[in-house]
Amino acid sequence: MKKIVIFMALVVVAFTSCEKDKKNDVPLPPVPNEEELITTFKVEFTDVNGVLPTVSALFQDVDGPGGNNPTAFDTIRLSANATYNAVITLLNESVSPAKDITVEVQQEGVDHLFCFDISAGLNLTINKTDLDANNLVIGILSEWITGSISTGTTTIRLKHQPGIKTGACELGDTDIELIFFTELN
Amino acid sequence: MKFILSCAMVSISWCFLAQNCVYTIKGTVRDKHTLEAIPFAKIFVVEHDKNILTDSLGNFLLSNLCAGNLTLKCIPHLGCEPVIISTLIPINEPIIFFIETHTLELDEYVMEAFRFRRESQAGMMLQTNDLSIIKGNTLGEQLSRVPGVTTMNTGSSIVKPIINGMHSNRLVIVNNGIRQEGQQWGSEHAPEIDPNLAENLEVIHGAAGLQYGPDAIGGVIIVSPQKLLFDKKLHGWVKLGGNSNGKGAFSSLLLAGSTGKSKNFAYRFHGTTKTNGTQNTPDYLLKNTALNEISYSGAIGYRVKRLELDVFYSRFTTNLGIFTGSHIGNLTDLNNAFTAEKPTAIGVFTYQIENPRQHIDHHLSRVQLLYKWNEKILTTAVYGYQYNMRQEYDLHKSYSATPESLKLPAFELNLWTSTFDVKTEIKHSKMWISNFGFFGMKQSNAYSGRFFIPNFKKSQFGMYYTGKLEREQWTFDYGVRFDFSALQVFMYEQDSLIRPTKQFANASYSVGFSKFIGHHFLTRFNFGSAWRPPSINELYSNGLHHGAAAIEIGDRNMNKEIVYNAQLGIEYKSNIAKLNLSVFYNYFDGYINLQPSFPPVLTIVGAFPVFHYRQSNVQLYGFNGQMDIPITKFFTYTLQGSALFADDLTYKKPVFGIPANRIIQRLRFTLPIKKTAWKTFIELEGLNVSKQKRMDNEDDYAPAPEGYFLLNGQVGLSKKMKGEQTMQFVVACQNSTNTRYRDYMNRFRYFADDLGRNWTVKLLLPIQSNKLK
Repeated sequence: MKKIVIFMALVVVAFTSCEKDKKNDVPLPPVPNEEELITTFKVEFTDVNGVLPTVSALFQDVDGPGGNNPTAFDTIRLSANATYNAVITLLNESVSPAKDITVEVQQEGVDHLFCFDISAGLNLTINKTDLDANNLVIGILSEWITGSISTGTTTIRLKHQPGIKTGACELGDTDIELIFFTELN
Repeated sequence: MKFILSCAMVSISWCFLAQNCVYTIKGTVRDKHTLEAIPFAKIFVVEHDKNILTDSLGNFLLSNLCAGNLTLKCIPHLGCEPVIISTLIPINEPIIFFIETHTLELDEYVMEAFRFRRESQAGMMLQTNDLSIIKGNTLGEQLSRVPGVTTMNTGSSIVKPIINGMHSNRLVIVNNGIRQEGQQWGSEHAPEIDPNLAENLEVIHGAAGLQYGPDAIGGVIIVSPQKLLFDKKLHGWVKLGGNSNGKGAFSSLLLAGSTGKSKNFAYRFHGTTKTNGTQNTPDYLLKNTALNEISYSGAIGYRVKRLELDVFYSRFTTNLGIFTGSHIGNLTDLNNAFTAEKPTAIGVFTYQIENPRQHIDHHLSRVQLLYKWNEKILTTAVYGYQYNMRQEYDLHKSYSATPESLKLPAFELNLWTSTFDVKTEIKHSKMWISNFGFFGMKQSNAYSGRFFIPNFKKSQFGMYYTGKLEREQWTFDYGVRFDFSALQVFMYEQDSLIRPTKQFANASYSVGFSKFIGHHFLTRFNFGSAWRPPSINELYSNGLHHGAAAIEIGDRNMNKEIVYNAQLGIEYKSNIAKLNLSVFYNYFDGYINLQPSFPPVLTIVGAFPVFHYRQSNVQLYGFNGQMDIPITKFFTYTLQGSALFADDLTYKKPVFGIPANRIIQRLRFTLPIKKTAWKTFIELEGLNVSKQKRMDNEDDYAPAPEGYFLLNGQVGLSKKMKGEQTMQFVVACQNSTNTRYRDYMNRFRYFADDLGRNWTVKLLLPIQSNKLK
């Protein structure tokens, strides 16, 4: 008899030990779009001499990767033989109000690096002008020196390099990679 | 040379008395060591100058015997040293003859009984406590000894079995009598099973699972623990092991026995712990590849006259690191990883697990009730409950993360499954057995974190009838099953909650036979059809598959996938050789797979290729073969090979993700140590895997890796203990030449080489209480 009681107790244990499951919220899934995305990339160029008009280029994909296609992917159009100060802004516009993610990249500058690659034939030089806590460049701020009239592409990448940042672009994984058509007139 | 001959315990158990020359004797021929019955053993009846054969169950029947002396002689044709039994007819009570173990001079080969698997489908049963055969410590690795079974890996810690090129949703894994239900659709989701609990692992090829579900398209893997034994005292084993690659260790303990005055309680408990550190390729460490695993289970059985009740509970928990170099943000990263000589993230050795990682917890509870209505009818009812939790942590914390959210997984999937299964087995006659069954399942899935698959509720009902006719020379089996499956999905679409429903229903069936041709050949044939409803990811996934660098889009209007499978097999066994060859052909109506589509999708992280889940008509065919040739009495040479071809007939190209053809050669040396219970073996194994040339470049980012050759070896020592158990000690070396290679079926082949040399030691110590029986 005692054994039968033990037996029954074990039956109960076997089927209740799983009951510390998560609450079963099947009919009410979490509301999406709370993901932390970077939906918008903006770069704004101001002439160091304050003469040329301010220019900006935008990439915008509000619903994130997949789904609807990006709504904006501008060409960078700068004047030839000029020097611009460039400022990058990153936004998450899938939430309301939109979140500015640039601040975070700046705060965690030791883990982040912007890289700029200029295609051959495009007469452009880019110098990063901001530094992280370890005195390595970040690239949110930069100086763009344009040469003679030319066209090509500028690839802008944001690399996430937690604990491994040395200034080299090859390390880490990529959070942003955009290839902008660039025209110097 | 003296040998212990594994022959014959002849038991004459039953007879009755009437007039002269109407006496009957029944008996059985059994293997002395395994006590297994030996079918088709030849027995010479001296007084009547005639031969009889035992049937498929090892039984023989002699009727019309006259009173007086009777001499039976078991003839060595099937490996029996002539064993002579004399008795006096009539016998009034059952007599059992125990034949002494013979030691004798053998000139040629070690003789053994040739037992055939008589099922109409190809397959194989492995005993997991035979360390000389069982390799590795995951279910996938352990099954790789079976012809036609290969593995699909994500690194070295996530290993999934593949049968004839089919895996995941196309296989049914039966764990302890119930279908294992986890997130098995995912290629990086390994079965949540500790193979140490299993006593037997059985693989059945083809559309085979009528009793377990409609969806055993590629086959069934049956993981069976030791049965609850009501007539044994405390017994069990301890397994200890270690491996050099990753400096890992595992230990496993199993205890079982029975208790109670009338021996009506039986129990079985088991536990395993496993830990492994950073693993390495021949040249570098693979950062973040440590893992740890704990699993335990308990079973208790209660038996009265016709009723047997047992309860089982098991839990399997694993934490595993995902190789850091496999985490990539976009296609450029992937291309860089692929072209790089070695991954940029090189690790140091550690047992710590960092992100990215997986945490999985699987609970399985089961109550089984067996009721014997009479000698002929047995009803089994099983209720099972499983809870599967899977947490995946990304390397990358998301932007705008809060300190609390950093501790949360990128996503978590919870899956609750209840199954109810009733079946009744009817022995219509000695040769005809049939089975009726009903199956019901309710399943719910809920996620938190990033959307990967939606929440859903699923119900499935099935009914089946199978039967088997078995004669001395042939068997015939047949079965039919009908299933209905309903799915309700809960997800947000454009900010509003939608609840679409889907229904699928279909029949599956199987018919087959096997037949002996003489004593050395067995032929088998089977034809069957199976189907599966599309899985949740094939219907509803939509978005970037992180880590796969692809956008995967499901199709909500996807239809069921149906397979028609035909297989033909021939088996030959004699002292000269053993040969087992099977050929199979599968035709799929609506094979679901990912197809690339253009153009790539532009995102802020660059362009990604897009893959849609599509259905196409596919043929998948090939063969598996194994040949064992004893070269001398000590050496056996084994040649095992598999070839597989899969054509997408709709898109006119090879099917993506099919294992490459392979050849395995083994040289095995076995030697009993003179006059002791000790035995030793040495085995050398060469594995040749060819390059998978049958692939479409658009389906993949990188060409298939080159073929490779691995040399493995192992040495073992075993001692037969009291009872049926054996103490075993095995030292093995995998990839002993430290060859650099990448396998086509390893998802990490884009990022890093496969594992380098790995030494393993394993020890199995039986536990046996002194009083036997």
